[in-house]
Amino acid sequence: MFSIEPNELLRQIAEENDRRAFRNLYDIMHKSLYDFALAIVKLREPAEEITADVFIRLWERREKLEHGRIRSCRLYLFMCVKNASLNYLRDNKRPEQLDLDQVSLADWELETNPEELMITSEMAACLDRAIRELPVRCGIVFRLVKEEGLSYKEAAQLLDLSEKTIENQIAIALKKIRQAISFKIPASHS
Amino acid sequence: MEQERLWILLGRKLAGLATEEELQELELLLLAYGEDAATMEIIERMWASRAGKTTTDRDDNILDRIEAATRPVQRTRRLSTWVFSGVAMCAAAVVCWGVLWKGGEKKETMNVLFTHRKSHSNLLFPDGTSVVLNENSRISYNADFGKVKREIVLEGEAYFDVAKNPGMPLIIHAKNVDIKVLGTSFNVKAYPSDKGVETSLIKGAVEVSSKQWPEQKILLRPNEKINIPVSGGGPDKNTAGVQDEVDSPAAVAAPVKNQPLEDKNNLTDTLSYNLHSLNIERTSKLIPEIAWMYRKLVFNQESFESVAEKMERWYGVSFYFEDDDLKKEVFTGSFSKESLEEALKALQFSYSFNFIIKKSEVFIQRKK
Repeated sequence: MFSIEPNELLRQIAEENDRRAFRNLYDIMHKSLYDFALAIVKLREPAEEITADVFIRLWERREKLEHGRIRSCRLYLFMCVKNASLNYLRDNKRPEQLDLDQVSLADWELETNPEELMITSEMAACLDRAIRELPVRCGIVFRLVKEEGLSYKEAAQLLDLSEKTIENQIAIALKKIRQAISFKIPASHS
Repeated sequence: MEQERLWILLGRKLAGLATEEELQELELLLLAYGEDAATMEIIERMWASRAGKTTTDRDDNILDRIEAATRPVQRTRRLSTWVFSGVAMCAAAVVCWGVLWKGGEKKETMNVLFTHRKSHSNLLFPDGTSVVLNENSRISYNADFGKVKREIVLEGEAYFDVAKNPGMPLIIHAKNVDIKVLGTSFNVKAYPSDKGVETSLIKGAVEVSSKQWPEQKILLRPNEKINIPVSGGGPDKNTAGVQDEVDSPAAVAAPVKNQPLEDKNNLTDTLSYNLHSLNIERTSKLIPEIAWMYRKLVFNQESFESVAEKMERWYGVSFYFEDDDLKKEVFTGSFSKESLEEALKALQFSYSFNFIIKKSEVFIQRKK
């Protein structure tokens, strides 16, 4: 039986040499990791390479992996991608600090499914636009917490921010989203 | 300043960090600022939904790199990459590869996905079809899904949003029922403990038939649900077409010789079924049949017996009724985060009964 919980998959990879767990982990995580890498390095090919390398290194080091000390596999992978991306920037003589106001979220689109939310497609488009137009700092925090399920603490650690900042950025995002849909609800009185 | 607090608290609630006090404070602030429930509902659903992730060439590039670098020397055939790269999954679902045996000789590779209790899974197939799998459910599909045919075997419950492809209908096998689909959204409920297979059509059209009477096809219209009883008792694994890979080779090789010839006895019968219309429950604004997707338990004018069945699955408990008449009481309502006790207390408002909870057993008694 194969779990899809990343921490459990990591354990299976490290302890049981389980290639299917590795493949499952890839299936769940590669897209998000790629989007994150692309946000930092802004070029597709290097982002692909960085994502692939993180998985390759994970597989190669699986026996030495102290998975017991990795509290969250998700955060660990995001951290690996962040470090690899910053290394790439350094090697290419670019700033090697994560500058949150310089990340690019153009390809990291979140698309709302109107049926799933039981709203009109017009309203879904408004929602998507509101998310797309969030300031980048706010947008990346929103994606990592909502879409990738990182806790405030994990997001803070990954982005070198305080938990308080994460909390505020999420509040800003929610407020903007609220404003974007406020005129679209027929019975709304605000 | 106060209003900023509202959004901070809402964020903490959605991220699962809010304390009991913070939740209460949030409720008060929502009231104070006249935030209507419908808007909050949309924001909460937006938060809970996961954006569908479409597959591109990039994914193959990444996978190719990884496989080239990590594959053992004797290269094995890549396991249906194109299917899996298209499948985006949320946490806590489970994947494995199984083998389907059909008609004894023919062997076909099937991919199997399943969910545990309290977990959902969103799947996106390369043809654009999306499936939301409810808890404790499993689906298997042909490994070459979308290339020559589209077939899915379902055990449990799932909501399907099927991409149109007139040349290649999607066929869903659930217990004794086959559902033929051209392009549409609908829900299928076929848990092993269910007495039948329930198909609820949200939009489009599907054709439903039972394996016993394949000629008798029923065309479902939007907002209709059909319940086809499982004939001859419990689910029949062989007709359902699923063969666990854990089964011993002997069990797999054994033909269906020992099956009772139940079909013969039924030859004179025709297909029996129940047809109902779907209704939106007013307070939650949800269709009860698909409320599980929003992690809600909704019932609309349903008998206590059917409410209990839903609550059994939701809370993982068993219900026992003092007498059968109690089972006929009718309830309407919806639950999401309520505890079992809170839910039962809420039900007591519309009909007064006594209940006792003993570990995972609930005893319902008439009020004396």
